Amino acid sequence: MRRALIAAAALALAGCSDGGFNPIVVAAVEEVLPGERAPEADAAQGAPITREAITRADVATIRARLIDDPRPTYLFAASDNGGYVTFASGIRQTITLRGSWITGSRGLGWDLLSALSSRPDPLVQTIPPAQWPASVERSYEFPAFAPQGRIETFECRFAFGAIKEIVILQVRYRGVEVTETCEGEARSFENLHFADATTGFVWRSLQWLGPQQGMIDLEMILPYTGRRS
Amino acid sequence: MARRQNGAIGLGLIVATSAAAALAAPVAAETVRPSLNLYGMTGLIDMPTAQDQPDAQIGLSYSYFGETQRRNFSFQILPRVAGAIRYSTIENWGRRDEDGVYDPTYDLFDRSFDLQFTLAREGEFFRWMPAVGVGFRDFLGTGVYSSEYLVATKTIQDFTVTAGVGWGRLSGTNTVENPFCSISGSFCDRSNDFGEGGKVSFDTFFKGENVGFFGGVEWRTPIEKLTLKAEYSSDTYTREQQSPTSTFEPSSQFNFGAEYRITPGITFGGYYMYGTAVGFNLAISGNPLRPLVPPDFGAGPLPINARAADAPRGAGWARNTPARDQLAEALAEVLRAEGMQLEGFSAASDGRSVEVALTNLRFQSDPKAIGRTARVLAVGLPASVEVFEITAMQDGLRTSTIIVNRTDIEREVDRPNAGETSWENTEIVGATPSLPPGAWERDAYPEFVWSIVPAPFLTLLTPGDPIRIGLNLDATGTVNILPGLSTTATISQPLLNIPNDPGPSTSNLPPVRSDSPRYYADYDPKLPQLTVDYLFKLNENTYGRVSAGLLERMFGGVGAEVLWKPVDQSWGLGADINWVAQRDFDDPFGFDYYDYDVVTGFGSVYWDTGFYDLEAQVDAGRYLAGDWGGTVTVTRRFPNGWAVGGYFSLTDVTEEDFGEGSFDKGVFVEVPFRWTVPFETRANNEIGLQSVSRDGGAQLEISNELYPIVRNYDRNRLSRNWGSFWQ
Repeated sequence: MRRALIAAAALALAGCSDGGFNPIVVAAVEEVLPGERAPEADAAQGAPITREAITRADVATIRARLIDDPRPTYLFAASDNGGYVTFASGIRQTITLRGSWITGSRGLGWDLLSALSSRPDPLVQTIPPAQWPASVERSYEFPAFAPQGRIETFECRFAFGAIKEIVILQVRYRGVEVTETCEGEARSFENLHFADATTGFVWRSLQWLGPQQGMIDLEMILPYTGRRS
Repeated sequence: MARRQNGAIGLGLIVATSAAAALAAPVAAETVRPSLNLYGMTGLIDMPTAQDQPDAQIGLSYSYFGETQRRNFSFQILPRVAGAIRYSTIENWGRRDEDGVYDPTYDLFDRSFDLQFTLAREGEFFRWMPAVGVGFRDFLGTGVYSSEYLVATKTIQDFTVTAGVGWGRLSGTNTVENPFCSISGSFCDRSNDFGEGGKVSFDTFFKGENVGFFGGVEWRTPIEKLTLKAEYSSDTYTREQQSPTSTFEPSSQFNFGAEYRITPGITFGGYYMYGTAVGFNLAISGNPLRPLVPPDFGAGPLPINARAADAPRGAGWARNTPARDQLAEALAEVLRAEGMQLEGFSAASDGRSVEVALTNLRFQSDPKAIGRTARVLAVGLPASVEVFEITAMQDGLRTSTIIVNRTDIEREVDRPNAGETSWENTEIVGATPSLPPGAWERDAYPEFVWSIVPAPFLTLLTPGDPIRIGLNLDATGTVNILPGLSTTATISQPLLNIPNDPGPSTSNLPPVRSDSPRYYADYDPKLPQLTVDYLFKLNENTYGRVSAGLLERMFGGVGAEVLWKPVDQSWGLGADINWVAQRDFDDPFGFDYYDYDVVTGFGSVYWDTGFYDLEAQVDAGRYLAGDWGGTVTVTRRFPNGWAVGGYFSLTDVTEEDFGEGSFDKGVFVEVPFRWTVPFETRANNEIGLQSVSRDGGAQLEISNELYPIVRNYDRNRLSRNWGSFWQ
């Protein structure tokens, strides 16, 4: 009963129009009646995703989970613009990667507009662990009231940890843990990567998305290898 | 041509918004802001400090002690400039009525305005230097709190120490001779006659025989969120004690208090005041520049890929009308899902450029809608199309055309610094009055649109009923007959806490606004609007409007407006003229009761200053009561939709005829609902804080004035939100 009352109150507050229920109402009802998902959300939920299905579909796939989220979301490669590959979820939340580094996000809460790093960046181009540079410079662009966003720049240093094995959607990988400590003028943060012991490809990482968004756990299920003709 | 509020205004959502702003713990870590005093300004308990709030910080507070209640709205207008508007109730003030009979139990309802300037921030010039400020309390009111002060504040670890010197009311005790008296004897005389009030009291500034010293200390205790305060006040509250029925009898100038920060935006304080009274202060604070919730949940923009180098670039589709229309229909469907309504589509015969005219139905930021449209076009249009001309429409008006090159989009998307690059590559021009002949246009006329919305309202400053919050339910239906031509009706059903008819006002002028409470009284349904409107463009830079019918709650008639506002120019010119008659307050179609009509109109200048988002507007002309004069409005209009502004009108109405307040002035706040919710909506809420509803300087309230419709689409405004083009 309480849920229904809350939904009714939300309805009264938001009003309605010929365009259907106000989006405020839709969102509020979804909030208080989580069972009543929007159709697009249903599509996003779908059936459980398996390695076999992804392999069969042969579409580059990542899995991402914001730290506060109970479940990860699968995102599929949707565009490649000069090596900036955008992955989209069923409800079109998007993450743009360059290699394994997140350079943009949309629809997750607080957008990361873009990001740029110095070369060589082992997250962007695959480099065997022994050849990783000691540090990279990373710049992040966040929304601001101007054509250009607010830029924050960090000096990031890598520190290698133990060799470990992890499993990502039924596949076991052997790699090295890498801690990336980033220091900026206003703040600092720490990324954590799991890099292939041989190639240095980053299969999984905990990456910073911004001061408000915080960290996201990213897993490469089926890496992007190039645009189909 | 200017916004004007009369008695009733939408309030509920701003109160809810402010409360929500305060209740929601900001996602970002926030440093502790300087606290507010019982006047709503940055300060100790009753005394000010020299600190300032973060830029744009807004505060709502209610304080009570002894026989004094204060309801404060404060705003950090600019860095270093803070202001407050206050509505106070002082019980047992006492006064003589018109017959000379003294009423000791008379309660004073008083409005006052404050300004404070930060002259130096702490450590700004020298490391040891305290913050220094100068303030003017009640500089525009009836003078009850009239005072000026110089104040210095220094932070020493967890303590903030303040000392100051005050004039006027702040020179009641602990005094020395006013140092300015040595410059001129005239500085020793301070008049307490503020007449009808409402004028800037220049002639009293820093005057008086004495100045008083005040000071205090604030301690941020080891108990997190708990602050203790002690101060010595130089205000003796002499006038408050004059009535024989007054129970407020100060016995000390020391005040003590404890404040607890419930959330970063809500503080509650309890105080022991003047050795005799217990008081409290509830302060709610938020900042327009910090949204309450994550601003982007849900569907991101459409991913796009560059066209293949070998993609067929034939242009036959552009010359094939059925094929072109089929494409337009498909685009309309996709854009509708994105939150835009495609109004028109045309393609050049060579297939290299298209124009799409669309209405943004969803996004608070127009560049975001434009960017999303560009992505849809990049995905959906044949490879031959190189140029997208996106015409933004609002209320049926073609405003600006944003021209983007498809190749540029393909080069910029997802790359670093794409916002700035795309801004440099984008051209913005005034939209032509209409699409080229033969263009596809949405086949929707006549079209009926409607809405039903609860309309909480606030009435302020009505004698005997100083503050009232109530609720109406407003149903609005519009029939769009042709592009730009529409008829609109609004029916308002009073629901909760509706006042009774207070009877006629006693104004010396035609009661064009002072009778406004009568139009909101009782539970009968009201008809605030029934109009036929035609909005159109004369050329790329000139807009027009003609309206007829029941134009607003109090007036009906006919009117016309023209606006010249090139998109590349920071200023524009407008003019309007209206013949209107005053409607009956108790008959939706009657004009007999007042038997009053007037020709009213203004020439207007609009200027987007580019300085801290400040926008200025000057109107000059004839007002509703037949008075001639001008209105100056200054608004800080934030790119995210927030707006905080103030205005004043000076006309040929005498102070005596105008009545209390001397001339028309007020403050208003607009809050975008988008700021409070994690999904897109263009809904907006507005509240007016007018000093008092009087008849001089009153303007018509037209719902579809031209400048508010087009202002968001000029180069300056678009640039401020252009970063969202890629969001």
